[in-house]
Amino acid sequence: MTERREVRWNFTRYGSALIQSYPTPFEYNATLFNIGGGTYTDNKYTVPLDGTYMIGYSCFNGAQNDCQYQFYLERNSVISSIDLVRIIGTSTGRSLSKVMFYNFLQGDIIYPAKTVGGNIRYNNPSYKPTNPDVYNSWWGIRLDY
Amino acid sequence: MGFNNGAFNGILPNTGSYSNLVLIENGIVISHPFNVIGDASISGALTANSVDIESNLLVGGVNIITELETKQPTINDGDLTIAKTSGLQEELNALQPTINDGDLTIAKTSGLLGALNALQPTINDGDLTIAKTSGLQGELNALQPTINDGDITIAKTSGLLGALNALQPTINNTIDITMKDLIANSAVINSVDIGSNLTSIQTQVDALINFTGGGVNFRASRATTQTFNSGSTLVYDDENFDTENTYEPTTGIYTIVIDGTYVFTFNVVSLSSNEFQVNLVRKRGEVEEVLQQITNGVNTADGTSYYGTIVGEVIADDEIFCSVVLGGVSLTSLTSFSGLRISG
Repeated sequence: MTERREVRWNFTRYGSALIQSYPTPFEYNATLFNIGGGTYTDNKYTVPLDGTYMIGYSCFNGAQNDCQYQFYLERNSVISSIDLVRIIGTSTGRSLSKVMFYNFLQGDIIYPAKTVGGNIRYNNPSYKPTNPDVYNSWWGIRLDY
Repeated sequence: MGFNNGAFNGILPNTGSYSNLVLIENGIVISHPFNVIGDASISGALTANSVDIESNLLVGGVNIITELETKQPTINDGDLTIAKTSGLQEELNALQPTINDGDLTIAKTSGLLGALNALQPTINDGDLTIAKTSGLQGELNALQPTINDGDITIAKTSGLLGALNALQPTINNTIDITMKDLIANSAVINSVDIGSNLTSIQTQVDALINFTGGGVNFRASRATTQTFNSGSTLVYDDENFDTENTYEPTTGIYTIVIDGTYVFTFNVVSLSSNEFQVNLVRKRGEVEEVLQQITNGVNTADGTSYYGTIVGEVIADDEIFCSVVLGGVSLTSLTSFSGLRISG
Protein backbone atom coordinates (compact mmCIF):
# COMPACT_ATOMS: atom_id res chain seq x y z
CA MET A 1 0.00 0.00 0.00
CA THR A 2 1.37 3.34 -1.01
CA GLU A 3 1.96 5.76 1.78
CA ARG A 4 1.69 9.46 1.27
CA ARG A 5 4.79 11.21 0.08
CA GLU A 6 5.02 14.86 0.77
CA VAL A 7 6.58 16.81 -2.07
CA ARG A 8 7.07 20.55 -1.75
CA TRP A 9 9.72 23.13 -2.35
CA ASN A 10 10.36 26.83 -2.09
CA PHE A 11 13.43 28.55 -3.57
CA THR A 12 14.32 32.21 -3.23
CA ARG A 13 17.21 34.58 -3.50
CA TYR A 14 18.73 36.85 -0.92
CA GLY A 15 19.88 39.79 -2.96
CA SER A 16 18.65 41.42 -6.12
CA ALA A 17 19.23 40.41 -9.69
CA LEU A 18 18.14 41.40 -13.16
CA ILE A 19 17.76 38.90 -15.95
CA GLN A 20 17.98 40.35 -19.37
CA SER A 21 18.54 37.30 -21.55
CA TYR A 22 15.97 34.69 -22.35
CA PRO A 23 14.74 32.00 -21.88
CA THR A 24 16.75 31.85 -18.72
CA PRO A 25 15.38 30.23 -15.58
CA PHE A 26 14.73 32.52 -12.70
CA GLU A 27 17.78 32.44 -10.51
CA TYR A 28 16.38 31.54 -7.15
CA ASN A 29 19.49 30.17 -5.59
CA ALA A 30 18.54 29.70 -1.94
CA THR A 31 16.43 26.88 -0.66
CA LEU A 32 13.80 27.62 1.97
CA PHE A 33 12.62 24.00 1.93
CA ASN A 34 12.75 21.06 -0.44
CA ILE A 35 10.87 17.99 0.78
CA GLY A 36 10.08 14.76 -1.04
CA GLY A 37 13.14 13.99 -3.12
CA GLY A 38 12.91 16.56 -5.89
CA THR A 39 16.23 17.89 -7.08
CA TYR A 40 17.04 21.49 -7.85
CA THR A 41 19.91 21.97 -10.25
CA ASP A 42 20.74 24.97 -12.39
CA ASN A 43 17.57 26.67 -11.19
CA LYS A 44 15.48 23.80 -12.56
CA TYR A 45 13.39 21.49 -10.45
CA THR A 46 13.05 17.76 -11.25
CA VAL A 47 9.72 16.29 -10.15
CA PRO A 48 10.21 13.19 -7.96
CA LEU A 49 6.69 11.80 -8.10
CA ASP A 50 3.68 11.80 -10.38
CA GLY A 51 0.81 13.94 -9.22
CA THR A 52 -1.11 17.15 -9.32
CA TYR A 53 0.91 20.07 -8.15
CA MET A 54 0.22 23.64 -7.26
CA ILE A 55 3.16 25.76 -8.37
CA GLY A 56 3.82 29.46 -8.38
CA TYR A 57 6.39 32.18 -8.48
CA SER A 58 6.72 35.86 -7.82
CA CYS A 59 8.98 38.49 -9.29
CA PHE A 60 9.21 42.09 -10.42
CA ASN A 61 9.01 43.09 -13.99
CA GLY A 62 11.71 44.96 -15.76
CA ALA A 63 11.48 48.30 -17.51
CA GLN A 64 10.18 47.04 -20.81
CA ASN A 65 6.74 47.73 -22.18
CA ASP A 66 5.97 44.09 -22.93
CA CYS A 67 7.14 41.61 -20.38
CA GLN A 68 6.40 37.91 -20.71
CA TYR A 69 7.15 35.18 -18.21
CA GLN A 70 6.48 31.49 -18.68
CA PHE A 71 6.56 28.15 -16.95
CA TYR A 72 8.61 25.64 -18.89
CA LEU A 73 8.29 21.89 -18.81
CA GLU A 74 10.94 19.49 -20.04
CA ARG A 75 9.43 16.04 -20.50
CA ASN A 76 11.38 13.35 -22.31
CA SER A 77 13.83 16.01 -23.53
CA VAL A 78 11.02 18.02 -25.10
CA ILE A 79 10.76 21.57 -23.81
CA SER A 80 7.37 23.27 -23.84
CA SER A 81 5.75 26.27 -22.22
CA ILE A 82 2.83 25.46 -20.00
CA ASP A 83 1.93 28.96 -18.80
CA LEU A 84 2.39 32.56 -19.88
CA VAL A 85 2.06 35.82 -18.00
CA ARG A 86 2.25 39.02 -19.98
CA ILE A 87 2.48 42.56 -18.68
CA ILE A 88 2.12 45.38 -21.16
CA GLY A 89 2.45 49.09 -20.67
CA THR A 90 4.05 49.03 -17.31
CA SER A 91 7.22 50.47 -16.04
CA THR A 92 9.82 48.88 -13.81
CA GLY A 93 9.18 47.25 -10.50
CA ARG A 94 5.69 45.92 -10.53
CA SER A 95 5.32 42.69 -8.58
CA LEU A 96 3.89 39.61 -10.16
CA SER A 97 2.54 36.55 -8.32
CA LYS A 98 1.58 33.60 -10.46
CA VAL A 99 -0.16 30.44 -9.28
CA MET A 100 -1.25 27.43 -11.35
CA PHE A 101 -2.04 23.72 -11.13
CA TYR A 102 -0.58 21.01 -13.32
CA ASN A 103 -0.21 17.26 -13.54
CA PHE A 104 3.44 16.35 -13.58
CA LEU A 105 5.18 13.05 -14.08
CA GLN A 106 8.19 11.76 -12.28
CA GLY A 107 11.28 13.10 -14.04
CA ASP A 108 9.62 16.21 -15.41
CA ILE A 109 11.87 19.26 -15.23
CA ILE A 110 10.09 22.53 -14.55
CA TYR A 111 11.16 26.11 -14.04
CA PRO A 112 9.88 29.67 -14.49
CA ALA A 113 11.74 31.83 -17.00
CA LYS A 114 11.45 35.07 -18.83
CA THR A 115 10.75 34.89 -22.49
CA VAL A 116 10.57 37.14 -25.50
CA GLY A 117 10.35 40.64 -24.17
CA GLY A 118 11.14 42.40 -20.97
CA ASN A 119 13.52 41.79 -18.19
CA ILE A 120 12.83 40.08 -14.92
CA ARG A 121 13.86 41.37 -11.57
CA TYR A 122 13.66 39.60 -8.37
CA ASN A 123 14.16 41.47 -5.24
CA ASN A 124 14.10 44.92 -6.68
CA PRO A 125 17.53 46.42 -5.94
CA SER A 126 16.02 49.37 -4.17
CA TYR A 127 14.46 47.07 -1.53
CA LYS A 128 17.49 44.88 -0.81
CA PRO A 129 15.83 42.13 1.20
CA THR A 130 18.04 40.23 3.57
CA ASN A 131 17.90 36.80 5.06
CA PRO A 132 15.40 35.58 6.21
CA ASP A 133 12.98 37.93 4.44
CA VAL A 134 11.65 36.66 1.16
CA TYR A 135 10.34 39.07 -1.38
CA ASN A 136 10.19 36.70 -4.34
CA SER A 137 10.31 32.95 -4.65
CA TRP A 138 9.27 30.01 -6.74
CA TRP A 139 7.57 27.13 -5.10
CA GLY A 140 5.37 24.10 -5.52
CA ILE A 141 3.53 21.44 -3.57
CA ARG A 142 2.10 18.08 -4.55
CA LEU A 143 -1.59 17.97 -3.72
CA ASP A 144 -2.20 14.22 -4.10
CA TYR A 145 -2.20 11.93 -1.12
CA MET B 1 -57.56 -94.17 115.69
CA GLY B 2 -60.08 -93.54 112.93
CA PHE B 3 -62.39 -90.76 111.83
CA ASN B 4 -65.27 -91.50 109.64
CA ASN B 5 -66.47 -88.60 107.73
CA GLY B 6 -65.31 -86.55 110.54
CA ALA B 7 -63.70 -83.24 110.65
CA PHE B 8 -60.53 -82.44 112.37
CA ASN B 9 -62.28 -79.71 114.07
CA GLY B 10 -64.36 -82.45 115.35
CA ILE B 11 -61.34 -83.70 117.17
CA LEU B 12 -61.06 -82.08 120.49
CA PRO B 13 -58.75 -80.85 121.31
CA ASN B 14 -57.72 -80.62 117.83
CA THR B 15 -54.19 -79.91 118.79
CA GLY B 16 -51.46 -82.29 119.69
CA SER B 17 -50.17 -85.45 118.11
CA TYR B 18 -51.85 -88.63 117.13
CA SER B 19 -49.80 -91.79 116.92
CA ASN B 20 -50.34 -94.74 114.75
CA LEU B 21 -52.42 -94.94 111.69
CA VAL B 22 -55.14 -92.38 111.28
CA LEU B 23 -57.88 -93.26 108.88
CA ILE B 24 -59.99 -90.47 107.61
CA GLU B 25 -62.62 -90.54 104.89
CA ASN B 26 -62.68 -86.84 104.34
CA GLY B 27 -60.36 -84.59 106.26
CA ILE B 28 -61.01 -80.91 106.63
CA VAL B 29 -58.47 -79.03 108.64
CA ILE B 30 -60.25 -75.84 109.63
CA SER B 31 -58.18 -73.88 112.01
CA HIS B 32 -55.95 -75.60 114.38
CA PRO B 33 -53.11 -77.61 113.01
CA PHE B 34 -52.39 -81.02 114.31
CA ASN B 35 -49.73 -83.60 113.72
CA VAL B 36 -50.15 -87.15 112.64
CA ILE B 37 -47.24 -89.17 113.89
CA GLY B 38 -46.97 -92.09 111.69
CA ASP B 39 -49.11 -92.71 108.66
CA ALA B 40 -52.37 -91.05 107.72
CA SER B 41 -54.72 -92.56 105.25
CA ILE B 42 -57.41 -90.43 103.75
CA SER B 43 -59.80 -92.17 101.50
CA GLY B 44 -61.69 -89.06 100.60
CA ALA B 45 -60.61 -85.53 100.11
CA LEU B 46 -58.25 -83.58 102.26
CA THR B 47 -58.98 -79.94 102.76
CA ALA B 48 -56.46 -77.92 104.63
CA ASN B 49 -54.63 -74.67 104.53
CA SER B 50 -51.31 -76.48 104.54
CA VAL B 51 -50.10 -80.06 104.92
CA ASP B 52 -46.58 -80.84 105.95
CA ILE B 53 -45.62 -84.34 104.89
CA GLU B 54 -42.27 -85.47 106.19
CA SER B 55 -41.68 -88.60 104.10
CA ASN B 56 -44.11 -90.11 101.68
CA LEU B 57 -47.19 -88.78 99.93
CA LEU B 58 -48.90 -91.68 98.36
CA VAL B 59 -51.62 -90.93 95.85
CA GLY B 60 -53.19 -93.98 94.35
CA GLY B 61 -50.18 -95.94 95.50
CA VAL B 62 -47.73 -93.62 93.79
CA ASN B 63 -45.30 -91.72 95.94
CA ILE B 64 -45.63 -88.24 94.55
CA ILE B 65 -42.52 -86.98 96.30
CA THR B 66 -40.42 -89.68 94.77
CA GLU B 67 -41.89 -89.01 91.38
CA LEU B 68 -41.22 -85.31 91.67
CA GLU B 69 -37.64 -85.99 92.55
CA THR B 70 -37.26 -87.78 89.20
CA LYS B 71 -38.40 -84.69 87.21
CA GLN B 72 -36.11 -81.94 85.66
CA PRO B 73 -36.50 -78.93 87.91
CA THR B 74 -36.43 -76.27 85.14
CA ILE B 75 -37.04 -76.44 81.42
CA ASN B 76 -34.25 -74.46 79.78
CA ASP B 77 -34.03 -73.04 76.27
CA GLY B 78 -33.54 -75.87 73.80
CA ASP B 79 -34.53 -78.61 76.25
CA LEU B 80 -37.73 -79.42 74.45
CA THR B 81 -37.99 -80.94 71.00
CA ILE B 82 -40.92 -80.07 68.75
CA ALA B 83 -42.26 -83.57 69.50
CA LYS B 84 -42.36 -82.84 73.21
CA THR B 85 -44.75 -79.94 72.67
CA SER B 86 -48.19 -81.16 71.98
CA GLY B 87 -49.63 -79.89 68.70
CA LEU B 88 -46.58 -77.80 67.83
CA GLN B 89 -45.62 -79.90 64.82
CA GLU B 90 -49.09 -79.65 63.40
CA GLU B 91 -49.14 -75.93 63.90
CA LEU B 92 -45.78 -75.59 62.25
CA ASN B 93 -46.86 -77.72 59.35
CA ALA B 94 -49.80 -75.44 58.83
CA LEU B 95 -47.52 -72.39 58.44
CA GLN B 96 -46.13 -71.11 55.09
CA PRO B 97 -42.67 -72.65 54.90
CA THR B 98 -40.90 -69.59 53.34
CA ILE B 99 -41.75 -65.88 53.22
CA ASN B 100 -41.18 -64.83 49.65
CA ASP B 101 -40.77 -61.35 48.24
CA GLY B 102 -44.08 -59.57 48.24
CA ASP B 103 -45.75 -62.06 50.63
CA LEU B 104 -45.98 -59.60 53.47
CA THR B 105 -48.10 -56.48 53.53
CA ILE B 106 -46.94 -53.46 55.51
CA ALA B 107 -49.70 -54.26 57.99
CA LYS B 108 -48.22 -57.71 58.65
CA THR B 109 -44.92 -56.21 59.76
CA SER B 110 -45.15 -54.82 63.22
CA GLY B 111 -44.27 -51.13 63.44
CA LEU B 112 -43.37 -50.84 59.83
CA LEU B 113 -46.25 -48.51 58.87
CA GLY B 114 -45.54 -46.28 61.83
CA ALA B 115 -41.89 -46.19 60.95
CA LEU B 116 -42.71 -45.40 57.36
CA ASN B 117 -45.07 -42.63 58.36
CA ALA B 118 -42.33 -41.08 60.46
CA LEU B 119 -40.04 -40.89 57.43
CA GLN B 120 -39.69 -37.82 55.12
CA PRO B 121 -42.05 -38.62 52.24
CA THR B 122 -39.80 -37.28 49.47
CA ILE B 123 -36.09 -36.56 49.30
CA ASN B 124 -35.76 -33.19 47.66
CA ASP B 125 -32.72 -31.60 46.07
CA GLY B 126 -30.30 -30.56 48.76
CA ASP B 127 -31.92 -32.65 51.51
CA LEU B 128 -29.06 -35.08 51.77
CA THR B 129 -25.59 -34.27 52.97
CA ILE B 130 -22.66 -36.20 51.66
CA ALA B 131 -22.49 -37.98 55.01
CA LYS B 132 -26.03 -39.30 54.59
CA THR B 133 -25.14 -41.08 51.37
CA SER B 134 -23.29 -44.25 52.06
CA GLY B 135 -19.93 -44.40 50.38
CA LEU B 136 -20.28 -41.08 48.65
CA GLN B 137 -17.54 -39.34 50.61
CA GLY B 138 -15.18 -42.21 49.90
CA GLU B 139 -15.97 -42.11 46.23
CA LEU B 140 -15.45 -38.36 46.19
CA ASN B 141 -12.15 -38.67 47.97
CA ALA B 142 -11.03 -41.17 45.42
CA LEU B 143 -11.64 -38.72 42.59
CA GLN B 144 -8.99 -36.38 41.12
CA PRO B 145 -9.45 -33.07 42.96
CA THR B 146 -8.84 -30.81 39.96
CA ILE B 147 -9.13 -31.45 36.27
CA ASN B 148 -6.07 -29.94 34.69
CA ASP B 149 -5.42 -29.11 31.08
CA GLY B 150 -4.94 -32.27 29.14
CA ASP B 151 -6.32 -34.59 31.83
CA ILE B 152 -9.42 -35.56 29.94
CA THR B 153 -9.41 -37.38 26.66
CA ILE B 154 -12.21 -37.01 24.20
CA ALA B 155 -13.37 -40.51 25.09
CA LYS B 156 -13.84 -39.49 28.72
CA THR B 157 -16.27 -36.71 27.84
CA SER B 158 -19.70 -38.04 27.18
CA GLY B 159 -21.02 -37.09 23.81
CA LEU B 160 -18.01 -35.04 22.81
CA LEU B 161 -16.75 -37.37 20.16
CA GLY B 162 -20.20 -37.60 18.65
CA ALA B 163 -20.53 -33.85 18.66
CA LEU B 164 -17.13 -33.49 17.04
CA ASN B 165 -17.98 -36.04 14.43
CA ALA B 166 -21.09 -34.09 13.63
CA LEU B 167 -19.06 -30.97 12.86
CA GLN B 168 -17.80 -30.01 9.46
CA PRO B 169 -14.26 -31.40 9.26
CA THR B 170 -12.78 -28.49 7.33
CA ILE B 171 -13.75 -24.84 7.03
CA ASN B 172 -13.55 -24.06 3.36
CA ASN B 173 -13.71 -20.85 1.49
CA THR B 174 -17.38 -21.21 0.68
CA ILE B 175 -18.37 -20.92 4.29
CA ASP B 176 -18.76 -17.59 5.96
CA ILE B 177 -17.58 -17.31 9.52
CA THR B 178 -19.26 -14.95 11.91
CA MET B 179 -17.60 -14.22 15.17
CA LYS B 180 -17.74 -11.68 17.92
CA ASP B 181 -14.08 -11.24 18.66
CA LEU B 182 -11.00 -12.46 16.89
CA ILE B 183 -7.68 -12.47 18.66
CA ALA B 184 -4.75 -13.74 16.70
CA ASN B 185 -1.02 -13.34 16.62
CA SER B 186 -1.07 -12.80 12.90
CA ALA B 187 -3.53 -12.48 10.07
CA VAL B 188 -2.78 -12.90 6.40
CA ILE B 189 -5.56 -12.24 3.93
CA ASN B 190 -4.97 -12.69 0.23
CA SER B 191 -1.25 -12.86 0.95
CA VAL B 192 -1.39 -9.50 2.70
CA ASP B 193 -0.09 -9.56 6.23
CA ILE B 194 -2.80 -7.50 7.85
CA GLY B 195 -1.30 -7.83 11.29
CA SER B 196 1.98 -6.28 10.25
CA ASN B 197 0.46 -3.64 8.02
CA LEU B 198 -2.16 -2.33 10.38
CA THR B 199 0.36 -0.03 11.94
CA SER B 200 1.25 1.17 8.49
CA ILE B 201 -2.41 1.71 7.71
CA GLN B 202 -2.82 3.72 10.87
CA THR B 203 0.26 5.69 9.95
CA GLN B 204 -1.21 6.40 6.57
CA VAL B 205 -4.55 7.38 8.02
CA ASP B 206 -2.80 9.74 10.39
CA ALA B 207 -0.80 11.10 7.48
CA LEU B 208 -3.98 11.53 5.46
CA ILE B 209 -5.68 13.34 8.29
CA ASN B 210 -2.61 15.46 8.67
CA PHE B 211 -2.47 15.98 4.94
CA THR B 212 -6.01 17.13 4.69
CA GLY B 213 -5.31 19.36 7.62
CA GLY B 214 -8.76 18.83 8.94
CA GLY B 215 -9.99 21.55 6.64
CA VAL B 216 -8.04 24.33 8.29
CA ASN B 217 -8.69 27.51 6.39
CA PHE B 218 -9.92 31.05 6.63
CA ARG B 219 -10.92 33.94 4.42
CA ALA B 220 -11.69 37.54 5.16
CA SER B 221 -12.52 40.41 2.88
CA ARG B 222 -13.06 44.10 3.29
CA ALA B 223 -16.58 45.28 3.98
CA THR B 224 -16.06 48.93 3.04
CA THR B 225 -13.28 50.71 1.22
CA GLN B 226 -10.47 51.80 3.46
CA THR B 227 -7.03 53.30 2.85
CA PHE B 228 -4.05 51.95 4.79
CA ASN B 229 -0.77 53.78 4.93
CA SER B 230 2.77 52.78 5.73
CA GLY B 231 3.21 51.21 9.11
CA SER B 232 -0.30 49.81 9.32
CA THR B 233 -1.62 46.28 9.13
CA LEU B 234 -4.24 45.59 6.51
CA VAL B 235 -7.51 44.82 8.19
CA TYR B 236 -9.83 42.62 6.19
CA ASP B 237 -12.69 43.13 8.56
CA ASP B 238 -15.38 40.92 7.05
CA GLU B 239 -14.62 37.35 8.07
CA ASN B 240 -16.12 34.92 5.56
CA PHE B 241 -15.05 31.66 7.20
CA ASP B 242 -12.49 30.63 9.77
CA THR B 243 -12.33 26.97 10.81
CA GLU B 244 -10.12 27.58 13.81
CA ASN B 245 -11.68 30.91 14.72
CA THR B 246 -8.25 32.47 15.00
CA TYR B 247 -8.51 35.22 12.43
CA GLU B 248 -9.12 38.50 14.17
CA PRO B 249 -11.18 40.82 11.90
CA THR B 250 -10.41 43.84 14.04
CA THR B 251 -6.63 43.49 13.63
CA GLY B 252 -6.22 41.50 10.39
CA ILE B 253 -4.03 38.91 12.11
CA TYR B 254 -4.42 35.17 11.59
CA THR B 255 -2.91 32.96 14.30
CA ILE B 256 -1.76 29.49 13.35
CA VAL B 257 -3.23 26.66 15.43
CA ILE B 258 -1.87 23.60 13.63
CA ASP B 259 1.67 23.34 12.28
CA GLY B 260 1.95 22.70 8.59
CA THR B 261 2.44 23.98 5.11
CA TYR B 262 -0.06 26.65 4.21
CA VAL B 263 -0.88 28.62 1.13
CA PHE B 264 -1.73 32.28 1.71
CA THR B 265 -3.05 34.76 -0.80
CA PHE B 266 -4.01 38.40 -0.56
CA ASN B 267 -4.57 41.41 -2.77
CA VAL B 268 -4.71 45.18 -2.54
CA VAL B 269 -5.57 48.13 -4.78
CA SER B 270 -3.05 50.85 -5.57
CA LEU B 271 -3.62 54.52 -4.96
CA SER B 272 -2.93 57.26 -7.49
CA SER B 273 0.68 58.36 -7.75
CA ASN B 274 1.56 56.34 -4.73
CA GLU B 275 4.28 53.70 -4.83
CA PHE B 276 3.56 51.06 -2.27
CA GLN B 277 5.06 47.93 -0.79
CA VAL B 278 3.01 45.43 1.15
CA ASN B 279 4.62 42.51 2.93
CA LEU B 280 3.02 39.26 3.91
CA VAL B 281 4.56 38.77 7.33
CA ARG B 282 5.05 35.73 9.54
CA LYS B 283 5.64 36.76 13.13
CA ARG B 284 7.14 34.07 15.31
CA GLY B 285 7.64 35.24 18.85
CA GLU B 286 9.05 38.72 18.46
CA VAL B 287 10.68 38.06 15.09
CA GLU B 288 8.93 39.18 11.94
CA GLU B 289 9.86 37.66 8.58
CA VAL B 290 8.58 38.67 5.18
CA LEU B 291 7.12 35.71 3.29
CA GLN B 292 6.39 37.73 0.20
CA GLN B 293 6.29 41.30 -0.94
CA ILE B 294 4.07 42.89 -3.53
CA THR B 295 4.60 46.31 -5.00
CA ASN B 296 3.55 48.49 -7.88
CA GLY B 297 7.09 49.64 -8.37
CA VAL B 298 7.09 52.83 -10.33
CA ASN B 299 3.76 52.05 -11.91
CA THR B 300 1.50 54.26 -9.88
CA ALA B 301 -1.70 54.01 -11.87
CA ASP B 302 -4.65 54.36 -9.56
CA GLY B 303 -6.98 51.43 -8.91
CA THR B 304 -4.74 48.63 -10.15
CA SER B 305 -5.08 45.34 -8.29
CA TYR B 306 -1.97 43.64 -6.99
CA TYR B 307 -1.88 40.24 -5.46
CA GLY B 308 0.45 37.78 -3.87
CA THR B 309 0.34 34.06 -3.21
CA ILE B 310 2.85 32.00 -1.31
CA VAL B 311 3.31 28.54 0.12
CA GLY B 312 5.00 28.70 3.46
CA GLU B 313 5.84 26.63 6.50
CA VAL B 314 4.35 27.77 9.75
CA ILE B 315 4.02 26.48 13.27
CA ALA B 316 1.45 26.97 16.00
CA ASP B 317 1.19 30.49 17.39
CA ASP B 318 2.77 32.07 14.32
CA GLU B 319 0.91 35.22 13.37
CA ILE B 320 0.27 35.94 9.70
CA PHE B 321 -0.72 39.35 8.49
CA CYS B 322 -0.23 41.89 5.69
CA SER B 323 1.68 45.02 6.52
CA VAL B 324 2.12 48.24 4.51
CA VAL B 325 5.81 49.16 4.53
CA LEU B 326 5.84 51.86 1.87
CA GLY B 327 3.21 54.26 0.59
CA GLY B 328 -0.40 53.33 0.95
CA VAL B 329 -2.99 51.02 -0.53
CA SER B 330 -6.72 50.70 -0.57
CA LEU B 331 -8.78 47.72 0.49
CA THR B 332 -12.09 47.50 -1.28
CA SER B 333 -14.95 45.05 -1.06
CA LEU B 334 -13.22 42.94 -3.67
CA THR B 335 -9.97 42.53 -1.79
CA SER B 336 -9.36 39.57 0.47
CA PHE B 337 -6.87 37.70 2.62
CA SER B 338 -7.15 33.94 2.91
CA GLY B 339 -5.19 30.86 3.88
CA LEU B 340 -5.40 27.09 3.65
CA ARG B 341 -3.44 24.35 5.35
CA ILE B 342 -2.26 21.96 2.64
CA SER B 343 -0.19 19.44 4.53
CA GLY B 344 1.71 18.68 7.68
